[in-house]
Amino acid sequence: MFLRSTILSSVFVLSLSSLAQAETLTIQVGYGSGGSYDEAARLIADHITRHLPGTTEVVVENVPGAGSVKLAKMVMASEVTDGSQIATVSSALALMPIFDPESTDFDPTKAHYLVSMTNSASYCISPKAAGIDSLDAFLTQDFKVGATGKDSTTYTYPAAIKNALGAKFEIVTGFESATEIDLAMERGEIGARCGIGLTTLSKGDMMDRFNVVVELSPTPKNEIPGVAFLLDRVPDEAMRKALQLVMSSGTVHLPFIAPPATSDEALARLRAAFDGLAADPEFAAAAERQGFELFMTSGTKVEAMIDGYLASDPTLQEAARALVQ
Amino acid sequence: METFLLALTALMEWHRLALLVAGVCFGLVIGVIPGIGGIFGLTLLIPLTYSLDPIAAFALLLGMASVTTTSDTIPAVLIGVPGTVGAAATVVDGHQLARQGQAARALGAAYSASLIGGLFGAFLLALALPIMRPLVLFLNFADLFAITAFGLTLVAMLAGKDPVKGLIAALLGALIAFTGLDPYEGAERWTFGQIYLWDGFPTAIVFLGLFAVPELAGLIAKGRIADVGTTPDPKGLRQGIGETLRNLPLVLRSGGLGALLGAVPGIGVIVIEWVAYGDAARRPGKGPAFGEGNIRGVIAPESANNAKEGGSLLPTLAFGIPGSAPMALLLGAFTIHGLTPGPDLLRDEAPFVVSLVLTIALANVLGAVICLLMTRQLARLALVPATVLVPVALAFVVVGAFQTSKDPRDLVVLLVFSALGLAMKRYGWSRPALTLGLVLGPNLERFFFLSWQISGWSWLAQPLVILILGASTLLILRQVRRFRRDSAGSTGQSLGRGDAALGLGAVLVAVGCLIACTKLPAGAALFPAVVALALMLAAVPILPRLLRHAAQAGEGETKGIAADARFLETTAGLALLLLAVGHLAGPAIFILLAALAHRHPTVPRAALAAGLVATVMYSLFDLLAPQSWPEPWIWLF
Repeated sequence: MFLRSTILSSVFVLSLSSLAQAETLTIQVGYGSGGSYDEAARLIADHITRHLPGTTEVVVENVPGAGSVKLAKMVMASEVTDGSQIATVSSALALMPIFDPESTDFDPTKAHYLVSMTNSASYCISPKAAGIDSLDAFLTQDFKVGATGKDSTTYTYPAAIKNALGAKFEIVTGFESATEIDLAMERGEIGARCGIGLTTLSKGDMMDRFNVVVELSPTPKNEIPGVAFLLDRVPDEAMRKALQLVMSSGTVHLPFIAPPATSDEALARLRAAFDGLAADPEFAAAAERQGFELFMTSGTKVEAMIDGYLASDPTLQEAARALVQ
Repeated sequence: METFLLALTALMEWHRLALLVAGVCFGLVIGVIPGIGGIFGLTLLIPLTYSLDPIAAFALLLGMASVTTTSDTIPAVLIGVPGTVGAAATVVDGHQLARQGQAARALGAAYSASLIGGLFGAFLLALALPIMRPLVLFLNFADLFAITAFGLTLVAMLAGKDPVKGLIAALLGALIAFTGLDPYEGAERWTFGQIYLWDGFPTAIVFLGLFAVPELAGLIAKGRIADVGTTPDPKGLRQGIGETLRNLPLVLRSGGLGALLGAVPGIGVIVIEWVAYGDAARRPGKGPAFGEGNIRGVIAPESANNAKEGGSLLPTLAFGIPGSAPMALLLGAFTIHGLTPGPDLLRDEAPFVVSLVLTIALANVLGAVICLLMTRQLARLALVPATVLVPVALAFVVVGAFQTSKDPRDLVVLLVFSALGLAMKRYGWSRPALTLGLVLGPNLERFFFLSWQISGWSWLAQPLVILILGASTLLILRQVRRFRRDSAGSTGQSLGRGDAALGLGAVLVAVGCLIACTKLPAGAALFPAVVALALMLAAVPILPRLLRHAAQAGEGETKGIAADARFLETTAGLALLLLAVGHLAGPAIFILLAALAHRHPTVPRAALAAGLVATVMYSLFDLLAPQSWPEPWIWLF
């Protein structure tokens, strides 16, 4: 009786175990549920199987922690070679060797970039009631800018503006999320926040409630008519270049990466799938429905861009580092 | 009225009603399983709503999200394992009642409180809709600091029989919670170089360790949930419902608290239920003390955590600003369905907005009714031998903890906090007090620095801040006076070497933190240093006693510690099995081995239980919401 019961239950459990080993692609997200990285991963999960022959299932898994550095470190150590595991981590990590040269947590030259979903500009916004309706007012008035951690673009972008152009605002750190800053702006406690993307700005009635005061990107995008471009206000060439470097992570925003261990064959298959996705009208329609502003850049191009940033003049890198302090 | 009828008619269409019922049933299942909660359910259901109309989609989503905090009471009361993090406070008195053979009474009170709380939350949401924007903007960070400080005064209520030990536990909880990157300077605080700890200890796992594992250890030692000699009270269910109705002012106060705090982004369900619990403990009413099976300790948190759902919808609806992770997911669902949160939504889509309120209300009614119908059968579990219940429950606890991030360190955290929970339980150190410090300490720090950066010290002159901080001071003074009166002439109780080790251990942790603070930037060190100093000062009166008792073992102490250590070893064994052979075979083998070790239940029955557990795990974590489980060690060889 004992033997029979044990064998039967073992067979049953083992058969369940083997069923669980289906052809699965896992997309890990370095942030919690509900943010733009999570939404992007789930959007891709809904459509990528059409471009990945043999993959029947896509699992989205949130691995939040330390502004996605936790996941980035896990990806670097991953031994998965068959392309069944990819991840999306902060675009700012691509410039980690410049802004945090001591850190060994993530090496953007070793991770395989598969795609960047958008390269749209970043912006600073201010609630209409605050009366900060132009870049001049933004640079000259006394108010508070809200930020989450000192590593996030909500801090680094306004810090760079303040240091480069001598703006008068003060930066308040310690907000738990960008949405908490938005609420503080509604209450009148905070005058502005920076680092907001076009996808978020386009949602709801954000444009009605906030003044978009400045566009932050290495080159002008002119996505929102009438919004001043920051670098137009920076006459000094060296300063301009340093600011460009600070804002360059925005050109590879919402990136998806594969572990360094990924085989060449699997990497080619994944990149082909993302290239296919970029040209997929069904995917584009779904993205539009969800309010995504897509500007897909292929993995090879993303890597070339990152290599370019990392190979920039060390003096320039030092100046960029000083700007975000 | 016309809008209300339109919304009601729309929601009553059979396919929407069917989706609401499906959502409720799914939410009840999610709530029962430890370690997973509303977020898990929402990520699973949102893709299914793409092709549905908005009212149907949100009937499914909100129906699910509204009732996880109703059914999470079942494991909390019966086996002392919180089904979601929102039921940890319910464990304290609810499980005590089950142990006294009053499981049906506790469950009856919990469900009816959940129902009334949920309905009250929906009612408040409906009232608030026209004025939702000013309401959401009512409290600023300075007010939140004052409210958090007020919440901390509740420690006195949760401190148990020995207030000094309770205070030390609360301060220790805060020190533990300061782990990770500080919110002001971004400096690392006692992370031991582990990125895993940058965001602090995972709260869900800490709660499973502090509450679930010690209760299961107690259960296995006891033999079954209900004390030997007790029989289930057939009138318990009705009695529980009656008590909720008799405590209606408490139900409504806790519900109001839940809805109000739920509307504040950044204040999660954990804070809400513990604040409601502490608030109820101010007036324990008749019957046993809080922590020993007081029904008001079940009613208050259950009312608050169900009412929270109505409140937390407010910032999402008013500004499109999600107040919590589940709300962020719901906001995503709004976008998918082409809806734009804000006042225009109320104007343009009034029937839809009202249907959300009705969905919350109906889901709460359905959830409570379904649970009430099952209560008599569930209460029988109290008589089931622990050798059957505990291995199955422990399997879900360990898998639930591991699925948080599927990192072996999840299991290490579970074991460390299980050891702490077991020791605190054995030596009468208040786990609720530690929890309150754990959940409120970091909020106090964050709100302080935000208020100070935004308005210097002028926030201290805000009328509401003065009022709340004044009330907090009065409460503390009253508690100190009462404590002095109660402890006059008493030398305090010590329970042996372990008790001394806990006290001295807490002091050593404080000293360690204080030393670590010297290497931190001033902003990052301020709060932890103050808390560490306070802990050391609080320990001064009991240190001589602890040192005296450190020399001699308490009565039956060695035997008790050995039993706890055995259970901890068993938990570690299950964790190793999980890593070695995977999340399906690991728990199944554990259940079979446990049956062999205890010679109960019979092997065929144990095999059946193992198969059932594996099937539930497979259905949840591989079929419905596939997860990328790490390769079991066995495959590596």
